[in-house]
Amino acid sequence: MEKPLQFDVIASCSTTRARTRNTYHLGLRPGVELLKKAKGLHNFMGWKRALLTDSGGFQMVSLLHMAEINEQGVNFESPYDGTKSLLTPEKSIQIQNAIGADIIMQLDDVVPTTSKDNERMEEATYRTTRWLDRCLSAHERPNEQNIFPIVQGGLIEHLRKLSANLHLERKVNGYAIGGLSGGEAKEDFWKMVFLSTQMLPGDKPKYVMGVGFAVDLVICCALGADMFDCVFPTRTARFGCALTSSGQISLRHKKFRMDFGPIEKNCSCSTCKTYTRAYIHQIVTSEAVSCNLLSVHNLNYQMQLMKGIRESIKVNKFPEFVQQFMINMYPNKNYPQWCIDALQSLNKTLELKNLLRHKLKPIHFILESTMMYKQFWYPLLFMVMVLKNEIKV
Amino acid sequence: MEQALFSVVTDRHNGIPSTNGPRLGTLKHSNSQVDTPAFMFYTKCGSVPYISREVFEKILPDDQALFNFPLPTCLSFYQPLKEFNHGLNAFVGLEKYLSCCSITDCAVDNLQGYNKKDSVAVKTKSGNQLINYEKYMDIIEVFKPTMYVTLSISDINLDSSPSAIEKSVNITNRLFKSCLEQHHQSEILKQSCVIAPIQGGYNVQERIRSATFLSEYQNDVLGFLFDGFFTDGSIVEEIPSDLILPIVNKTMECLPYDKMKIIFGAWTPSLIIDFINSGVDIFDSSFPYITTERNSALIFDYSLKFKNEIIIMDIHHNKDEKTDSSNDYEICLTDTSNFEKFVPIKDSCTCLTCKKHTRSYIHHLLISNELLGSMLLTIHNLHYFNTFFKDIREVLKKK
Repeated sequence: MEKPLQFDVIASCSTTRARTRNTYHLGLRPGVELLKKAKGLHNFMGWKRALLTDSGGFQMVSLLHMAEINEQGVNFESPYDGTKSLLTPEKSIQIQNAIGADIIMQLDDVVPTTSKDNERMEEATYRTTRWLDRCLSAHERPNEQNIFPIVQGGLIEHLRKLSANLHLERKVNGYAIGGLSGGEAKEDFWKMVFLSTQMLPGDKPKYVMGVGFAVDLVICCALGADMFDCVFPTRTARFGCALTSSGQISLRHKKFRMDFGPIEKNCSCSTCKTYTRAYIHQIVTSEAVSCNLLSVHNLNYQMQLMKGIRESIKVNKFPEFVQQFMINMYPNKNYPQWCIDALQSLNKTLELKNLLRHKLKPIHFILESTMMYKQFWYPLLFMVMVLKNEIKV
Repeated sequence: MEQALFSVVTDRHNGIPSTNGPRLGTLKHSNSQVDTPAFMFYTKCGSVPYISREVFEKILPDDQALFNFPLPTCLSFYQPLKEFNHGLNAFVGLEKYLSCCSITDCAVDNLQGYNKKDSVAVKTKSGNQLINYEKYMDIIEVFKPTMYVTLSISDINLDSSPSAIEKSVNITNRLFKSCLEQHHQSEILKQSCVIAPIQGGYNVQERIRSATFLSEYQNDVLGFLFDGFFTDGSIVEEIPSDLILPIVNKTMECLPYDKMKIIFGAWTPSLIIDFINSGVDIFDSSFPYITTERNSALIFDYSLKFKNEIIIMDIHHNKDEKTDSSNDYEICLTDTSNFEKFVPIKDSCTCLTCKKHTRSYIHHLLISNELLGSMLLTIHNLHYFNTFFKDIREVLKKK
């Protein structure tokens, strides 16, 4: 009863260490001035653990029709009142300094992953580094907050290498791998992740942005990534989907009407201990509480998955973990080709075990994302925008 | 398992029970006990709006709670529950708590009419469903609630015609008898109790007729429901007390003293006190629910005392809190005056929301359409309402 309840709920799920926020939205609402007066976001939210804020770069892709990018920064139109505002790297850091999150993201120049415009991609790659330098010199709280550079370069191998190399020359405590999970083929996705993790230092956390499916997390960990966010589990909860060890199920489906078991047997979350699939099926389209129940389960699922990965790495059994995971997920052994390719390439380049041992400290954060807050924990308009995009697509 | 049992906690110094007047009571069922005056937790589709079981247990850590399940919001559970076979409470994740099934959703605007002869139109979100008493009793057998209101025609409000009122009494009485007969024949319902719904709108004669008829069956029922005062649950606060109180008082005189008296609806705290003074034992939480729905938080300062055999409530008006959108009981958190207020909703409040969060943050959540905003408000409002009832019981204990 000491802690606020909704955070208790997360804490009891186990190891949430950090949560993701979004600068662009926080900057517009409630606004920097209010956050300053509230003595930072931690205080404003009543949250004592780690926070991570994104720079607003992603919003360039998702809101491109409202944004215009040039060397100076990004011209946004406020979705609230239509007024124009310029988000520069300096401004982004200034806002993120006011918000006070523990990990903050550089403003990057994001080009949609699937873009065929190589020239634009090259420009964005260089510009991202120029903006990184502007971010680093604008940073006023380097002893309290860590700026993560974002490795860009789309799906172009030499640009990825270039981006990673340029960032390596800067003094930072961790890296993000960005510009992926934007609808590219999985074949391209894993290669870019691997390329990036191989180049980045082994003793610093590497955060793959926007990765969602359980399979992606496991493979990315194998490829050397350390941190993810949980946009996916909470977003998918809003659509009535639950994550299980054998894959995703949509509780809207009629077949759950008479299913009186929990979402997942032996799941330790409070939803599975109390509620049946049949009941959630009944309320999934109508009651707000269903999003809450599914978010709790999905977050617990993802945190348990990460815990499983950490534990297996500690006892040198990660390959066995991957094996078991894949069998649970694909009982017929119809593994996706990209997973096979990714794991095989690991065997070729490095012994998997060596790769993992080579990490000094396997830190696997799970970052709750803006999505979670949109629905339950925090106040961003982000979700609405994502929805719009989805309708558009 | 035994049936639920209601008993008035008799005053030792003054043993003669009076018909009207505030009283303490207990509702016991197996290991649970709810002390009255109390309220049922209003639910939608089997859950308190915005609140999971896990969260509920943090609002109300002890196990004394009674939930009201309005049929329109959970009628679609019938088929799965029939197969599930463990009753409504278990299905919605509220085992160990007490439950009451009722016919109307008292917190929303209900359409009137569409009833056919002795079939009642239950207004679900997927349309009206005509339910006769046989079907209804079948549903109740499947739901297995601790108590249930018998099927009734209750869509009566201030504008209803005398003939509509008369009809509602006639049909409700008839349905009551039919339901009761089925109840006595049912093995399954041996553990469930019957609540008799008193109709009659705002017509005293009809109310008395209804109450007198139903009182003949007092040994068959756990209590009585003052039903059929409104069709739109969202405007209950506007019903003037001088219209409804005389009716409730007159009706109360026709009812057996030792039975439980229930009234549903979002009555104002002041009217709740009046009802308790009239002898009502149980309410529901539609008032805090409706408060939450308009993005408001209960903050009224009150003092209660027992004088001349009734509870008297003084509400202390706080001029600082007055905003355009607030009434005597609440403040509206979407009001821009809260933008920079880094203080809890209510300083003295010990709820989870007030212990950790500021008005500024909740304001931000609400204007950003965050469900967490409504969730935090619900936590506060239910806590506040619950404390209000605790204080009422304390005053009655000390008298």
